[in-house]
Amino acid sequence: MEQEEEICSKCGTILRDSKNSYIVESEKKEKPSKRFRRYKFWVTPLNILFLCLFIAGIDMAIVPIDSPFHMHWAFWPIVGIITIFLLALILSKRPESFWVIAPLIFANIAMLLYFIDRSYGENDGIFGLDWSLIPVLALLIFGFAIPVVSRLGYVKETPEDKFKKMVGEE
Amino acid sequence: MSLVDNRKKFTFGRKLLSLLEGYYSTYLWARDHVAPQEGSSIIDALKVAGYVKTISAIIDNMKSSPRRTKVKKACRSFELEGSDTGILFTHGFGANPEIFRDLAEYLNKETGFTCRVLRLEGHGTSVQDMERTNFLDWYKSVELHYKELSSKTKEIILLGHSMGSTLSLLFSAYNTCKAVITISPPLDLPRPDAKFLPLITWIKRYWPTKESEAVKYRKRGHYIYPKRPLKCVTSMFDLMSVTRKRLHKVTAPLYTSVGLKDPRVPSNNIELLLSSVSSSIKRADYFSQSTHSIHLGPEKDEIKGNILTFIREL
Repeated sequence: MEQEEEICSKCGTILRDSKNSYIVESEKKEKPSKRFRRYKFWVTPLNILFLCLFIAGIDMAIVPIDSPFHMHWAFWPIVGIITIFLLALILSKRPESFWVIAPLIFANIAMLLYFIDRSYGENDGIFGLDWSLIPVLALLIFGFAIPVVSRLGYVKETPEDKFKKMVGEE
Repeated sequence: MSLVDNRKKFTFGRKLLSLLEGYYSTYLWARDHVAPQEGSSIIDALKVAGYVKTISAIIDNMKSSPRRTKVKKACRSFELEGSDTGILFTHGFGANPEIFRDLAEYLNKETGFTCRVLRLEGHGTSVQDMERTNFLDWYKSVELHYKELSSKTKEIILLGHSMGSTLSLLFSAYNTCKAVITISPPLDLPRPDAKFLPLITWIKRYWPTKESEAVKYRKRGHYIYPKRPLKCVTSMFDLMSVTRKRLHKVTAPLYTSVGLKDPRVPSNNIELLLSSVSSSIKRADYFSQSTHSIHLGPEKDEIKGNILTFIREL
């Protein structure tokens, strides 16, 4: 069995006499997690960028009506892919607060689009909006209302229940 | 004004500038693209800037930091070999096994018992690692070490400090042990704001450790996290709630103690404990000069003696 260090590696403090002590085996079995070692952080965003460029390229190549660099429909799948990526990112990084962060972000984006559209002057659409009506409604419904309602209606397991399950208590 | 003050002022200025920078650049963008349009104003531009800043702040809060899972050498569990009676020590929230070094060595020398000081999951590694744990993981740590210790000893005494004593009490409600010894056991803390902790956790992940407390730990040569995950603090309150409901299941002889100058655990927790457990042997000591860590404070010799006497009388 490994003899314990007598000097603290962190602060250099001399630990007291511990001749008959040893580090217990269960501590040495621990290994660092390899969960985030598979890919570098830039792999997925770069792949998404390539995909978006591909979609934009198809759009610009097929219907070159007014300008070779003008997109007609590719904007929507690109925004959709990026949104899904962002959602997945939030879900993986902060799974517990996802249901709070995601609605907040989407509500903010919706309001941002709303103000940008309104800043271009009054339009004849609903709420005085022009192009932003569909994305704003989509963000508010899919990004805010549905997650909030789903979260409120979610039956969460209490710590008491989790403990009972763990110890096998009825 | 001293150099330090100047530096502080400079840092504050930098922070203020970086805070305004986002607004200013967004304002410039909005001025060029939004404000010149018909029916728009500077107010519209500022509204836009506000939302951009909020979104960027939320995304910034998600930034992950590296999670170190390797246990620091000075924070590992250790064992002092002895007879076929074991004492299992459980440290408190944010602490590490080294806080029991003195007490474990003393009891090992005086009683000859095998003393194992365990490290709770997420402790002695990194704050990010601790954040992923909860009281169930900590309970499993006690269970793991209990099983290992019971393979080489016939009887086990559970000894805990602070949250470790709460865990020991909960564990003794489901497992056989010779006695339970608790030092400053938190069972019902007078914190009405605790119910808002889950909400606060969504906005703020960590709470910094008090500098005075950190200095005290470092002076003793103990490692302490510079900040504590609020999620784990919430879990500690869950543990207290779960334990309170099961105190009647504790039947082992009980020794408990509290410092009357303890700012965290008031002495009424001891009264609650004594009135709730079903143990036939109960003993409580109140230490007038001690704070939370009685076994490290001015009355450490008294508590060591009292614990030794209690163990010998079993």
